[in-house]
This record gives sequence, structure tokens and C-alpha cells, in this order.
Amino acid sequence: MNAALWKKSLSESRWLLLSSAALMFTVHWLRVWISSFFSTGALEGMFSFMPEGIEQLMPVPFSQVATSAGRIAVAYDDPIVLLLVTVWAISRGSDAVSGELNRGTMEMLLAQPVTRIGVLWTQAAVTLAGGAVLAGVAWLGTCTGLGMITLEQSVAPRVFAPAALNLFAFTVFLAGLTTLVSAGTNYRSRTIGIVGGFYALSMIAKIVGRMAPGWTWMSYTSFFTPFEPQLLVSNAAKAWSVWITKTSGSFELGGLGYDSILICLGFAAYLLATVIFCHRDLPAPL
Amino acid sequence: MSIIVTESLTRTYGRRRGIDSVSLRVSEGALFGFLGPNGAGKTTAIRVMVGLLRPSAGTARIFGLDCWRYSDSVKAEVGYMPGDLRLHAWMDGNQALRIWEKVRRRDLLPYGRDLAQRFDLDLTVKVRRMSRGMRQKLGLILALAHKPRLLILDEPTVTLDPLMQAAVHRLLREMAAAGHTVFFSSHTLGEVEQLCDRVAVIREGRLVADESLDALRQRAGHQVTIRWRDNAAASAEPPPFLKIEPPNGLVWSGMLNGPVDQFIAWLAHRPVDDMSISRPDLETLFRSYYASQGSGS
Repeated sequence: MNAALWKKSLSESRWLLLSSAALMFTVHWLRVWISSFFSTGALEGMFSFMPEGIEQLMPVPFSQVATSAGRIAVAYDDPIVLLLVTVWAISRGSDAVSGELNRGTMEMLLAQPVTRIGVLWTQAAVTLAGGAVLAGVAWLGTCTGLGMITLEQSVAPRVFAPAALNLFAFTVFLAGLTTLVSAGTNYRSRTIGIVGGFYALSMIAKIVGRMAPGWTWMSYTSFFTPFEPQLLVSNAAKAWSVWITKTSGSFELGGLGYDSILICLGFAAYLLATVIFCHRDLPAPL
Repeated sequence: MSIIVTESLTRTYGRRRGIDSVSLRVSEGALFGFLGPNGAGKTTAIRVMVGLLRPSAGTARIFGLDCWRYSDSVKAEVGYMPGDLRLHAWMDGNQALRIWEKVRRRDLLPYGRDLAQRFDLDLTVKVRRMSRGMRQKLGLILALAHKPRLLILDEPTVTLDPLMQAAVHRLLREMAAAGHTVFFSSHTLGEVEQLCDRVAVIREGRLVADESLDALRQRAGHQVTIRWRDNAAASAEPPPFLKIEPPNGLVWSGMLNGPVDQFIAWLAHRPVDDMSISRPDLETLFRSYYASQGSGS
């Protein structure tokens, strides 16, 4: 890959990455701080007043959320955190091809002696490295909080590493999917629209699959299903295993299994995007 | 030796025509004009050559290499400036040169700065603050800075003022004299006349002429307008070398298909109030060209 393409890609994304990373750190640090205001007993009492259906929506039982680790783990699928990684993955992925085409800058770029693979994979490498930075900063925020703030029950920072890894895997999938759509379209807004629609449908599929008996299969169609950071914090057995065998003899995916699914699908999407981009025509500036 | 060779090059956009069976050869060191009205297919042909579009049929080769399959090898020795040039808004001229320098792994800054001085362009201005003409100049600098063996320019002077157009024309002539090949498209006959020794004319996606400028001039004839002093002269029969449109009172206008001195000798003893004679614009040339094609077939 060409050093100039790296520089260009970094120049274009640095402000988004820096601001997202700062916000990510703050959210995770704040979550530890806020957690220190509540006791497990008080939270358990509060959760007992919740309607029954609500617990079904939660990735882990209320009893787990009420613990110090559970309260902090909520940060890893907090709406702000999801928004940050989603904005990063979709903005970088959509910019890879349709963004450059939309701006008309792809033509001058590809008039240089660079390969299309080089152009796409430099973007991909910067996007994935940014995803790793965001996940790393999330964990760093938690670690810093834990180092500075005294909690009711002490929690080791390493407990949250599987959640951070799961967050990174989610970013890889979403960035890959967006790049795939971007590789086939000419307008960035169209890419964002398609991925945004898929994102919403996927979220609905997971909620319906979890809430409605007989509709469990829908959760298997959602890319949110292998995104379970809270579960990976509360279930130590699951956290670092590809799958676990239940007492009934059946298998269940572990944290590394979830991550592998998301990362493999993300890379498959990147490979398909490469094939499409290397074979497609580039229209004149739009 | 031919640097650009296209054979039956065809490119369609679904049912829409792009270019159809375009075959041309451009020799090394030539200053080659690619003429055609808007929408004729000039840009499509150029984009196929630069490897941005895949041919639907036929082949396009530069330096003997297929333009699609070996696009990155071809582009190492090509300088290209698109017709509708867009650059990253956050760059300034110096940054653009430095990035292009790293992409091409060549030292572009010294010559790039010389060119900027020649085109009177401040390289510290951000692209987002540049006028269209300034962006055009920067595009030309980026296309020329690595002293490419082949320069492909799509309507390079369209947004430049006359002084800058002249500066670009001078530079292109110098490049051709130094052995570089220049292939440029235009819809302005005057520009091509000033610069080129050979031209290809494309219309509705098909190549309708590929010949020397002298031959094209012969074909073009002259556009003539005569204002007569009296009705008798205005209603007389025109000579065979003048093709006059239906008369409009005392004014004749039409095409001169013959030597200018013959026309002046014919006019000398007639009651003329005013007269103009000029080269036709491109559209007129096409009309006259097709008229002669039609009558010939």
C-alpha cells in the first residue's frame, strides 16, 4: 500500500477519530463514576419494580446488571457508544468508494499509478485501525475509572476486555458491510440510506426475536445477535471461549465465537467489495 | 511508433450510446486533437484510455499495454486531467504536489513550483478557496509535474482566461517538441487549429474524421456573409463555389467551397456594402462535413 494513500486516508478521518475517541473515553470513565453512586442492593430493589417483559429485552438478568461489573458493562452497548462506532464505521465505509465518487475525487486519485485494491484496502486498514482505537479507548476509559474510583465490589479491568473486543468486532462487521454497499453505488447518501435501513431492520429483528415466543429465529438474522458485551462481562465462562458445551450436551457460542462471526462476515464483505470495485466502471464526477 | 492504439473501441451505457467502433492511432511526439461537440463521446473514449471505464467491445492500448488490465502500469507514464476536475477540498497546492509525489515516487515539487509560477498560481491556497480556473491550473500542474511520456487532457483550457490559454498552448507545444505526446480533447476548432498537426473528429460516438489539420481545413471551407448595395445584385444567381442559404433581403450568408482569391476576384466588380469571411465554428464544420458526406454517398 502506498504511503501517500495512508496519509490521505488519515488526514480525512483524524478529526472524527479524535473526537470519537475522546467521547468514548469520557463515556466509559463516567460510567464507572456513576456506578459508584449506587449499591447493588438499592439497584436490585429498583429493578424489582420493573414490568416483567423488560428483563427479556436485557442481554443479562437484572441481578447481573445490579452488580458493579454489570453496571459498568452497560456502557459497552450504551446508545452513545453504539452511535460512536456506528458513525465511525458508516462514515468511513461509505467514503471508501461512493464518497470519493460523489465528491468527484476518485477520478484524479485513480488517474495516478495506484491499484484499486490499494485504494480500497488503505481505507479499510485505516477504518479497522480506527475501530480498534475506539474499542481500546473504551477499555482504557473503564480501566482509568476503575483505577481512580472506589466501588462497592472491586472489579478487575480484564473482565471488560471481551466486551471491548466484541465492540471492535461489531465495528469490523459494520464497516465491511458499508464498504460493500459503497463499492456498488455512486452516491454516499444512498450508501448511508441502505446501511441505515439494514441497521434498523436488524435491530428490530433482534428485539422481536428476543421478545416474541415463536419468533426466536428472527434473532439469527440480526447482526446485533453476536454483539453481547454485557453478557461477556457477566459470564466469565463464555468470555474467552469460541463455544461452550451446556449440561444438556448442546453447544452455545462463546465470546470469541461471536467475535469470529462478526469479523469473518466483515472481512467477507470487504473481499466482495474489492471484487465489485475492481470490476466496476467509474462514472464521471456526479 | 503509435503510443495510443484503439481498435473498434465501443462503450455503451445500457441502451445509451457512448462510443461506437472507434479506431485511432496516435504517434509518439504528436500533438493530437480530439474534436467533437458536447456529448459526442470524447470523454468516454478518454475515460476508457485512462482505465476508468471498461470497453464494451474492442481494445484500447497505450504503450502497447491494455488500458483496463494494465491500468496502473499505463498510468505511471501518463499525465491526465479530467474535464470536470475535482480535488480534495482540504488540500492546498503544495500538499497536493507532495501527495502526488509520494504516490508516483518521484520528485515533483521543483517542476511543480516552476509550473505554478508559469501559470501564476499560489500553491498555498486551499482547494476549497480556489476558483474554477485556479483548480484547472492546479489540475494541469498535477498532470504535468512528473513530465509524463503521454499527456491526456480533457478540455484543458475551458475555464481559463485567454492569457492563460496561451500559456498552456505554449507549454503543450514545448512538451511535444521535447518528444512528449499530447492527446487533448476540445470542442473549439480555433484551439485545435493553433496547436495540432493531426485531429480526430468524433460525432454521436463514431469517428467521422482522422486526418491532418490541412485536410480538415480544406474540408471546412469558409463562412461568408455579404451585404449587397442593391436588390439587383442580391437577386442574382450565386456562383457555383458559393452555397448560399435562402436570401434574406440584401444579405447573403453561406459557405465558400473554393479558394478565397477566386471569391475576392468575383466580388471585386460587384456592388458590395459590407462583407465578412471567417473559419466556421465546429458545429458549422460538422454540418458542412455531413452535407458533403451525404451528397457523396
